[in-house]
Amino acid sequence: MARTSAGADWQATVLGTTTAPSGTLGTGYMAPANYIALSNDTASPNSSDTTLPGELTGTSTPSTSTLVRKQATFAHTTGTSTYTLTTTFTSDVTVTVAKIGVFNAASSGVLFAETLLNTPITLHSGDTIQIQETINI
Amino acid sequence: MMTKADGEKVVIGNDHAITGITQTDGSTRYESLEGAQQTTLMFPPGLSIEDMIRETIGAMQSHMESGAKPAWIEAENEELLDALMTFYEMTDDPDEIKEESDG
Repeated sequence: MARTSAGADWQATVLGTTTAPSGTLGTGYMAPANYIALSNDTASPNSSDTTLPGELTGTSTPSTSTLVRKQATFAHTTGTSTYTLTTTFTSDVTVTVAKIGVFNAASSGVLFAETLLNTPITLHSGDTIQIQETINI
Repeated sequence: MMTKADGEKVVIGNDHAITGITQTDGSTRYESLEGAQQTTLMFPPGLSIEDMIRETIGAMQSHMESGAKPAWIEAENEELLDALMTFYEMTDDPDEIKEESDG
């Protein structure tokens, strides 16, 4: 079986888009995975994870209101087997970001993927960081 | 902050497309694509125009060769379209486009 270019476009769109080009987006469990979460956890990603260890939230340590999970911009080039999710955060605390999570909901939801940064990044209040995940399908 | 917009999109004519392949060590290797491609960006609801500009430029770094400019840009939001045309130093004058392509 060989996947077609149209099939790759459809797959990327169903998995990651924020707006349906036609029809209706999946909801609930079937919602596209386009929310990016940040974490200060430095452990290697574990395929059995269902939550993002150390996810930065309003109740995490440190707590934050600006580094919480956020819906990202979806981008896909026709016929390719990849898409990107891009978003920008401005920090309101001093924190080290070590891991990125991709979810399909603003809270809870399915943890689709985790990425451990090669080098953790320390943010101070007022710092801005743009996060981009490239997802191969 | 300028106006807000919900669920907007931008489609970019991309004659210098690249695609990222994630490697086993977590790094990303980029490959060039032949021919005229299109890159579609779908924004989440509630982004400001500034956010959409910043995220388009950021995302395109992973979809278009460094230093290249789009062949064309399509966006319903005129403010966003104008800002992206300016950033990529593009003209919407057909004569100028022709002159550029003629070398």
